[in-house]
Amino acid sequence: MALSARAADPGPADLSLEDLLKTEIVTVSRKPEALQATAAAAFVITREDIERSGVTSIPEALRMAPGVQVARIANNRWAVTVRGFNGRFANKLLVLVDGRSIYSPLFAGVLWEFEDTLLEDVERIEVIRGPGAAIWGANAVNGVINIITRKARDTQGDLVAASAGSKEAFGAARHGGEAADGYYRVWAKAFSRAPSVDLTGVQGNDSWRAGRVGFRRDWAAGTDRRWMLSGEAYGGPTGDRWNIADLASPQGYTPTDITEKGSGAHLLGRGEWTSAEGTVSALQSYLDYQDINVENEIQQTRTTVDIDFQRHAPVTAGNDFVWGLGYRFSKDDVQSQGIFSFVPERSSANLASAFLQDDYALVPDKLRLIAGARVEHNSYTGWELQPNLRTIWTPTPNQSFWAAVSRAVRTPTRADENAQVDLTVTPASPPQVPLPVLTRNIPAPSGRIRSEKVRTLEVGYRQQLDAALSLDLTAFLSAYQDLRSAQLASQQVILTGIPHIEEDINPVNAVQAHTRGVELSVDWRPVPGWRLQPSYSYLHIHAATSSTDPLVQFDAAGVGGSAPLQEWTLRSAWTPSSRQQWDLWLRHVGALENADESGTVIAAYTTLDARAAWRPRPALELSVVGQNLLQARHAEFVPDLLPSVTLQVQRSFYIKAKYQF
Amino acid sequence: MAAPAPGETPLSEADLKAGLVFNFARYVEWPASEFADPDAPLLLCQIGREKLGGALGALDGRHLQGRPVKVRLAAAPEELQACHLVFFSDPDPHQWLPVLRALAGRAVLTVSDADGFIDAGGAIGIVAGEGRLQFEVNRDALDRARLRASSQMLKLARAVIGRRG
Repeated sequence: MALSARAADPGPADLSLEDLLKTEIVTVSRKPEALQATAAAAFVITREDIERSGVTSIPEALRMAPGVQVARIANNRWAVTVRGFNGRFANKLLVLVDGRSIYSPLFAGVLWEFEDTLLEDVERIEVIRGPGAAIWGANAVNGVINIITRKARDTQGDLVAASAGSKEAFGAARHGGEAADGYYRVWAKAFSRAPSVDLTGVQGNDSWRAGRVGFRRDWAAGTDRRWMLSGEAYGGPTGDRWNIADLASPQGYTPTDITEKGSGAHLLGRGEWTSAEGTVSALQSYLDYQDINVENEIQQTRTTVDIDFQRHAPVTAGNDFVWGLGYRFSKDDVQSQGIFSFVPERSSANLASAFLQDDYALVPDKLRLIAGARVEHNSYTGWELQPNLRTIWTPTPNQSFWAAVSRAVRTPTRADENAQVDLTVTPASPPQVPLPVLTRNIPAPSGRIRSEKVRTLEVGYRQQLDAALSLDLTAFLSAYQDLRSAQLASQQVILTGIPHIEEDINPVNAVQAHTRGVELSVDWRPVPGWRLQPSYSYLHIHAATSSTDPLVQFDAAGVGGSAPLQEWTLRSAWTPSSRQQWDLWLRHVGALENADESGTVIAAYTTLDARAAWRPRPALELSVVGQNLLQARHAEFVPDLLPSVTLQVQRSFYIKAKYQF
Repeated sequence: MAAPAPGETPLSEADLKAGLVFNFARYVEWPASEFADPDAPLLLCQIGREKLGGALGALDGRHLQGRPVKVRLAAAPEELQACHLVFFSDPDPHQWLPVLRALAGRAVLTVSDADGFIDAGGAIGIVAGEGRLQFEVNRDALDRARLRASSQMLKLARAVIGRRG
């Protein structure tokens, strides 16, 4: 049946249901406008955003959110943070996948080389900048990222995808079907990435191969009762090259290729039920096992169990209450050699938490006040309180103003308390320094490390100017206290073996910082079929200390240089027909002041990703993607903590085929 | 079916959604008690900030199941009194969830294109997937509203949750 305009009133009512369902449209997908009512700096990366950007990993997808700093350290490692304090193990960001925390207590950060999923199964990524601690928990100091996977009923049928390119190759398959009282999917994915190059053009050792399998099952039991069970298992080797501190070497280090094998699995279950009056209760529990093996250096096995309960009462007298309880237990076994020494080898940690939030309508539909607090008890610092107060004013349906004040903490972890690492050897330079100096990081005396704290004030404005243009603006001020830095603990001359000076440094909470910044994102459809999404962020960090220790002062200076002053991004998605997609992603990241031992400073860079996709048949999509096109190679981050060699991100491309049936 | 040929006015997403709403009403049976007499109109209502624009309004005056169709754009939940079908056009659950709950127990077919609509108790959700529109059905919601959906329509749904068999 042709869809031509006819003399008589044409109309959608003239088409049969089958025809309507077959009609291809250029989906002008809406930004989820539940955001309009959020009194926080929230940004959603949709499934369409992920697909059109051509990204092949979660950290790369996170670049699309303003205020999130993503720096690629190597093919297999990223430094990801929100609003500053970036590092390979940036610890002021809470990252969750379907509510499961992927923060590793061993290094107090996310091990992005072991976190992955089938990107086609990601429904959306919610990015909330600013302390999300009241609802989400400690370590959500600067933000929360929640990666939400699609419901099983949305991934029915079979999917096969494969890609091959200059730097990576990947293959995946998924099958979704109906079960007795619900839906399920099972999937498998494998990929391989080639190493990148160092600053001199020599190939690094950061190749990466991994395989992953997973499943998800959703079912309903009776009315208003929903259950979900999901699980994944993964494994694969990756590598790195470390300049390992070595007294025997004239330069103080020996470049060593290391192999890192990671494997793990998790199982997550969730139940939600709604009572007759409309109270929604949710119970979630997960079991997570992780095994990391860095040959000759460190091996860790970790088991985590978490259980979480939430209840959302129906609105009574203008009050919208939600409260929750949670408990997490994590135990590990760490064997260390080489430059590492973790004592004790076995350790376990408990975390118990409770939160309460009330969303009160001061003026119905116009002004809301949200007060919340979370109280936690953890094994290292005992009780922590994280309150926040927010308000949102909606003078007209299309615009809203919001403001928030909040307090959050970053609690110490195994890494802060128990790690001893040989950091560097500085060769002798007589006559001032007659012997080489071995600098070691040693644990602080037990109980001396406190939580890092932040107090943040944020204001924001959102407006839907017309059907095709919306903007979202946030400004913030934060004050940080008790930031961890290193101080000189002791110095002694060791005359046995290779004579050297042993300088021990240990953590101390001695740095304060102030940050201020602005984040702006715009969503504009100038003509139907063309979508532009520019975004901009500005961040100024000033750190200081009252300590006279030059090491602490050096760390304070380093905090200031841990994030670029400005970043901007411009994404263009042009959809001339339902069969073609033409996408461009231009982004600029400012310079980083922090230098590595060789004095390398990361310069500002501007780069471009481009993607073109065709659908020769509705079920088949072919795409070509070019990444980092504007320079042959550029460095994005100087490695910290672990003695990795600085590597560069190279220009690359890949072609991909995706078939769904 | 391919995209419209050059020269033809393509159907917008709003038009297609309106067409789907019309077809849902065609394949659902209301209890006889919901109509005053055999000629009483079938009232399709819309509530929410977004609105399908004129697309839903274009259905006014058509005929379904032998009855005339009337379209009403409701500004407040109170105006949904006599509606047989309510389309929720607001994507924000803060807005539509209380209204959906207030309609519980009434013989009203609840339809929306908002995320997670049928999980929250709505009867039919319009979802976008792979360049087309699809729909999913909550059988329990239909049962509670005392509505019968034809099996022909249910077969075309991308997903059906709730009572089975």
